[in-house]
Amino acid sequence: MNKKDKPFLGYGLGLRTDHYEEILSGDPPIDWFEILSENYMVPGGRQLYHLDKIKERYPLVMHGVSMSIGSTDPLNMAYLKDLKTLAERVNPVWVSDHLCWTSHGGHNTHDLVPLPYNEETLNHLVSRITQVQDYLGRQILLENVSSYLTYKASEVEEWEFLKAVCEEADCLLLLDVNNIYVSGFNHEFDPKTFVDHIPADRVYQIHLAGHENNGDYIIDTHDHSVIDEVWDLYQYTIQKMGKITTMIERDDHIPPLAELIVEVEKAREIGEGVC
Amino acid sequence: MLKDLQSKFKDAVMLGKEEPFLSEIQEGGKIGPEQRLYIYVQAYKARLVEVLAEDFPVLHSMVGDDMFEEICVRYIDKHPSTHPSLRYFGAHMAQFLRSTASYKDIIPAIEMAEFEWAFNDVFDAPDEDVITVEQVAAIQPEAWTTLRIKLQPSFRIHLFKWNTPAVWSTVTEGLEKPMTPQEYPVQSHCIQWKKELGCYFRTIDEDEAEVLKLACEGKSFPELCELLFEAYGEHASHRAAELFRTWVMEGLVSDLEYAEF
Repeated sequence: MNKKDKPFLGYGLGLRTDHYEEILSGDPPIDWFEILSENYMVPGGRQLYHLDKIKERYPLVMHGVSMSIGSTDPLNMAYLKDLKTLAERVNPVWVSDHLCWTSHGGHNTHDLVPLPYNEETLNHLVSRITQVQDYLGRQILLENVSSYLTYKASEVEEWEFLKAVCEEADCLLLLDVNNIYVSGFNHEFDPKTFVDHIPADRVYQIHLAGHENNGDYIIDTHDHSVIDEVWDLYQYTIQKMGKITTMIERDDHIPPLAELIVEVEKAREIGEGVC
Repeated sequence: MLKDLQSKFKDAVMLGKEEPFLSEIQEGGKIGPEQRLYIYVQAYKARLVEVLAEDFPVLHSMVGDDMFEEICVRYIDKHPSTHPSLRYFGAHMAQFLRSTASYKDIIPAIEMAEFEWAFNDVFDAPDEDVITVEQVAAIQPEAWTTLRIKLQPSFRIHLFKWNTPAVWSTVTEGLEKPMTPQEYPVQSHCIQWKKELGCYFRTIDEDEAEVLKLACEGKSFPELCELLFEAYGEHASHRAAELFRTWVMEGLVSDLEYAEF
């Protein structure tokens, strides 16, 4: 992908098994779907059957949680091989994962653990992202994660680090606006400052989701509707960056499709109304 | 060093060695380093217990909440996840129960873990076209002498001492009073397989189990008949044909192979 040809897919939704039948039997007003890559990295079965049906009707993007791009373990080439095989089957508009690490010493935490923002990490990431992009034969999008801690070893702010990573590794960004809000709350920074420092030309996709506010801290649970403050931050983001491919991400307490379509339509209203 | 930091985090979350990692966390904000780390520790355990509960719902109901939680916590310690996908995390459960002193004698639980886990493998097995009755009818008489039956990749066979499949059915159907685990008078085989998008199973007679095992080994149709000869005598080929027809109708057979002359 060339930055000059940045695609705009419209307003989408994370594809979940609960909605397969409704999507295939109806014609929901959703422009595109994002699939969780790992759910489809299997030899066969119902998941792949439905995926093949849905890809005939909607543009798809792939979103992974286990690339562990920031890990100091060697790159998991078996995982990347499966990811590439899936990409050949799906033909997604793009492939994304998270700017974090998930595994160490061959063991997976299955969590999106933040990295220290310093030069050592930057060099490590740039090398690995370059290898992954070369192997997959495409630029990848990396997403900012929600975090509950920061490290003494960090030397710069997260937004400065993100900018440096995508520019030096020549990768793209999946900006999770809810994650910016969550981390801003947990680390007491202004989410708008984060947005202000992100290079708009690198942002190809936006995630919107809900979370759980525990008073002193917020957990990024993806099991609630998007809150007003996050909608406001989304509006601020596209005012700054222009119209960007956007989706609603729900991973738990999955409601009926109609309920999520209301949120997709709200994103559309804001996205189309502002720009 | 990034590697050192990640190692300390892993030790904190997986082994409970929190002190070395706590000193890496920036202080400040409404909550302290201990609570910040605790969020990750709790999430790690909760996520893996949730996955095991999804993969072993009937085992869970058999042993109850407290014991299932205890099993999960010990399993997580013994078998930390080594696969990028959580889909494979529970793969060692039956073996774990079998090799752990506290659980090794709870045979119904071990069998249920094996049975429930196999559904995952059946469900995700490669999809292959199956042989139809019409294709069988078209087999030339002379071809039966070298015919080999290839079972589809989702096929699994188990040997159970307890009424595990029946208990699974009644619990899964949500019956108010599900069947209680009972030991069979003699152990019994059960097969699982996938047809189209559904997973199926049935208990089978001993002779069918032995013939299926031979088919899996790539033995020819006459060799299957030979095995049945002791029990069925001159009717052995009739019994073999009957079994073969059943397997075809159930969608168990994915290919027919013939030796080259």
